[in-house]
Amino acid sequence: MEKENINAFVNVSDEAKPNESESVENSLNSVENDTQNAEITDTPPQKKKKRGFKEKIKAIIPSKRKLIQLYAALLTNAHIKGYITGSIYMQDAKTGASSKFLCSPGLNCYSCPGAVGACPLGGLQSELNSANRSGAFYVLAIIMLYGLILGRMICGWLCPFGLVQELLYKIKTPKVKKSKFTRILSYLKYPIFLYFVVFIPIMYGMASSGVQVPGFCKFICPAGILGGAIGLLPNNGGYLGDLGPLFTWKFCLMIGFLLACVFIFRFFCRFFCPLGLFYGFFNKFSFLGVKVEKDKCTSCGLCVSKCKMDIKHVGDIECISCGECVDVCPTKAIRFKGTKIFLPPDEIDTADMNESEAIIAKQENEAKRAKAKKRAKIFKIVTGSLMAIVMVFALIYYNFIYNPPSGVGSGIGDHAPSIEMEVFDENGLVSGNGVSGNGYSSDDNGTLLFDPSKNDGKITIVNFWGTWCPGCVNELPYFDQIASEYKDSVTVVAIHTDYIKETGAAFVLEGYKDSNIIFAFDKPHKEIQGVDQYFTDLGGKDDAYPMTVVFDENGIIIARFESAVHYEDLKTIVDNELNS
Amino acid sequence: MSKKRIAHLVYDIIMSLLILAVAICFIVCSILIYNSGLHPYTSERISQYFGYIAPLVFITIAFIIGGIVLKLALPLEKKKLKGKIEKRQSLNAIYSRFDIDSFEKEAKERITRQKYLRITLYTIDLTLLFVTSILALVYLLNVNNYPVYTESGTVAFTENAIKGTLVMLRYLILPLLFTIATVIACGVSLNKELEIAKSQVKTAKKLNPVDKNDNESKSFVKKLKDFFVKNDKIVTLVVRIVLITVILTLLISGIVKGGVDELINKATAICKECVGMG
Repeated sequence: MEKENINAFVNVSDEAKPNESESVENSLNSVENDTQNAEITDTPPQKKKKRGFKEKIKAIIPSKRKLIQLYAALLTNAHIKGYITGSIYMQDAKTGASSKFLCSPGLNCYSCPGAVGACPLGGLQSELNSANRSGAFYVLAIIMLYGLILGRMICGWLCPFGLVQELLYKIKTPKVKKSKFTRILSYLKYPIFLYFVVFIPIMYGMASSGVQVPGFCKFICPAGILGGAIGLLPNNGGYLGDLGPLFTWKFCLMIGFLLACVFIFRFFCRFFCPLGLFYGFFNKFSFLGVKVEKDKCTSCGLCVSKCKMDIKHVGDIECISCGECVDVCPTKAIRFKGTKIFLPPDEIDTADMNESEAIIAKQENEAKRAKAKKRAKIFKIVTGSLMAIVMVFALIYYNFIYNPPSGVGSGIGDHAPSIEMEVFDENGLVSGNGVSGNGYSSDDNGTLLFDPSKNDGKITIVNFWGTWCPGCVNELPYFDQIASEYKDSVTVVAIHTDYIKETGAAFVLEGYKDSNIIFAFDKPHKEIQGVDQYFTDLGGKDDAYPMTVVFDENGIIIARFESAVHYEDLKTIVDNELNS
Repeated sequence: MSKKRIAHLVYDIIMSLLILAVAICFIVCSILIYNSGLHPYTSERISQYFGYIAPLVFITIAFIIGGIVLKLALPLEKKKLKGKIEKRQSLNAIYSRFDIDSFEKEAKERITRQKYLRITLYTIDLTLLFVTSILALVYLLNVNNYPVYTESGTVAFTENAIKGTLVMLRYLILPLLFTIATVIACGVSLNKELEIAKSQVKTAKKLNPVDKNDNESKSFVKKLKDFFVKNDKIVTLVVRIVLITVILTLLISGIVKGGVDELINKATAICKECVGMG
C-alpha cells in the first residue's frame, strides 16, 4: 500500500498521541507473555469440566512421540544381556557378522553394553582421525543420509539421550523459559562442533603416532558415562583402576547436564549437541519433518511462542519436528511432510453452487475423507506390525542367538601358553636385550615363539597395547622403566594389536628404539574373527586395551590388570615376587 | 493464591532443592574420591561415599512419585487465553489511528536524542579522567615520589613512591566510578529507547510495506533470498539431488576404502576415553 492510500484509509486524528505507542507496545508484550505461559483450548470458559478417572489416566499415558522414542531407545540398545554380563556387543563368533557397521541415528555410545549400532559422532571422529591415512568417509555419508531423510526429526523422535532429557524435564520443578539469552546460547554448538568434533581428531590424526583422540567423546559427551561407564563398571571391577581425572571430569559434567535438564528443556540438545547441529543443517531439505503451508499461515507467531526450542520459525535449524506446534496452529497451516495423502481434504465451500451440485460435491468430499482415513489406518497397522516384528527379532537375536567371542580362561594360577609373535622386517625389528637367548625360537615362517616358563628364571610381564589407545601409550614409559631397572630379572614384552600395525611400528621406532622392552605384534585369532589371538587366549575381552599379565619364572600367572597400570603397581608385584 | 497453587509451589521448591542437593552431593563425592590418591576409585570407596547419598536419592525418587500423585489429585487449571487473534486485530486497529510519518519521525528523534545525550556524558567522563590523570602525574613527578634505582639495577620503591601511587589511584577512583555509572545508565536508557523506537519503525513499516516488486532498491542478497523463496520447490529439489549424489559418492568410496571395517573395528572395542576410563 502506498503512503497516500494509508493516510486516506486511516483516521489521522489530532488527538492521536504518539506516547500511546508505549502502552500499545506494553499491551502487545503482555499478550506475548501470556501466550508463552498459556494453552489455547477449544473449551469455552463458562464450562468447567471436572476430569474423570479415565481422563486423568489418559493424561499420564505417554504420547505417540514418547512411545516412538522409547521404542527407538530400546531398539538401539537391544543387547540387554550386555548389562548383565558387563560386555559390549561385538561380532558374532561364528559368523563374524555385526550390526555395528551401521550407525544408530541418535546419540548412543557404542561402548554402552546394550548398543547394537555405532555412535555417529564417535564414528565420524574416528574417520576424521584417520582422514589422512584411509580417507574413507563412510560414516559421514551415513549421517548425511539420515539427515537428508529425517533432518532434526531424529532428535525429537529417535534419540535416546533426547528421551532422557525430556523425561527429566517432566520432574515437577520451576522451569526456565526460553529467551534471547537461550537463543544466543544455542550458538555454542557451532564452536563445539568445529573444535571438538572436527579440529581435535584431525590434529591428532595427522601426528605421526596416529593416536586417536575423539575430542567430543573424550571431553564432553555425557552419553558415554551414562550408558557406557555406568553400564560396564558394576560387572568389570578391573576397570576401576582406570578411573581418574578424566572420569571425574566427565562424571561431574554429566551430573551438571542432567541437573540442568530438569530445569531447562533439552539443555544438552539445545546448547551442546553437535550431532543435532549437523542434522539441523538438513532440516529445510529433509524428506520428513514439519512444514508450514504458507498459503494458510497468518504469521500469528503462536507456533514459535509455544515451541520450547529456540526456533525463529518452524522448520529452521533448531526445530526438532516434535509436532507440538501442529496442534496449536489456529489455521492448521503446520503439518508433517509426506503426510498429505493421509490428511482428509478441507471442507468445501458450497455457497456458489446450486443445490444438486452442492450435494454431489459434498458426497465426493466425504468419500475422499473416508479414503484418506482408511489409508491412514492401514498405514498405522502396517507400520505398527513391522515395528513390533523388528523389535521382537532384535531382542531375540541380540540376547539369545548372538555368540560373543570368548577367550580361553586365563586367571591367576593358570599356566601361560606360548606367545606367537610376529617378527618385524629388517627395518622394523625392535628388540630388547632379552630377545636372543632363552625362551625364544622362531619357526620357518619367521614367527617368533616365546615361552614365559623357559625364560631363564626371569619374571615376564606381558602388556597388550595399541597406538590408538592413549591410556596404553601413556603407561609405556612405566614398562620401559621397569624393563631397564630390572634388566636381569624381568622381561617385558609389549604386544601391539594386529589393528593398524604400521602405526605401531612407526611409533616404536620413533620413541622406543633403544628400549629394553621387547615389542611384537599379536596375530589375528585363528577361529574368531575380529579379535587377536594371544590377547583373547589370555582372557582379554571386548578389545579392552590395555591389559597386562604378569608371569613368574615358571610361567604361572601371578597378576593381571585389565586397565592401565602405574610404575608403583608393577614395582610392588616384581619386588614381592623377587623377595618370595 | 489458592491452596492448590500454594501446595504446588511448595512442592516445586522442595523438589528443586532436593535435586540440587543430590547433584551437588554426587559431584562432591566424586571429587573427594578422586582426591584419595593413586587408583582412587575402588569399589569400597565408591560404596562408602555414594552410600551416604543413597537415602537422599531415595527421598528424591519418592518425591518424584509424589509429584505424579499431586498432579493427578490436585491438577492445576491451565490459563485459557481466549481470542488472542482477536486481541491482535484490535491492537492493529489502534495502530491504524496513528499517523505513520509522525511515528517514524518520533522514532528517529528518540534515537538522535539518545545519541547526543551519550556524547555529552562521555565527553564529561573523558574530561574528568584526563584532568585527574594529569593531577596524579604531577604529584608523582615530584622527585620525592620517584622509585629509586639501586646499583644492581633493581627498583626500590620508597615509601613516598608507594603513597604517591595510592594517592593517584584515589584521584582516579571517583571519575572511574562516575564513568562506569554513566555507561550503565546510558546503556539501560538507550536500550529502552531503542526498543521503543525499533518497534515504532517496525509498526510503521508493517502499515506501509515496501513495494515487493520494486527490485531496483533491493540489495543483491535480498534479491537472491527473494528468488529462493519464490522458487522454493525447485531449489529444494536441486539441493536434494546434489546431496544424494554426494552421499552416494562418499558411501561408495567409503566402502571401497575399507571404511566399514574401520568402523566395525572401532565400534566393537570399548572406547575407554568415551567412558572416562583413560
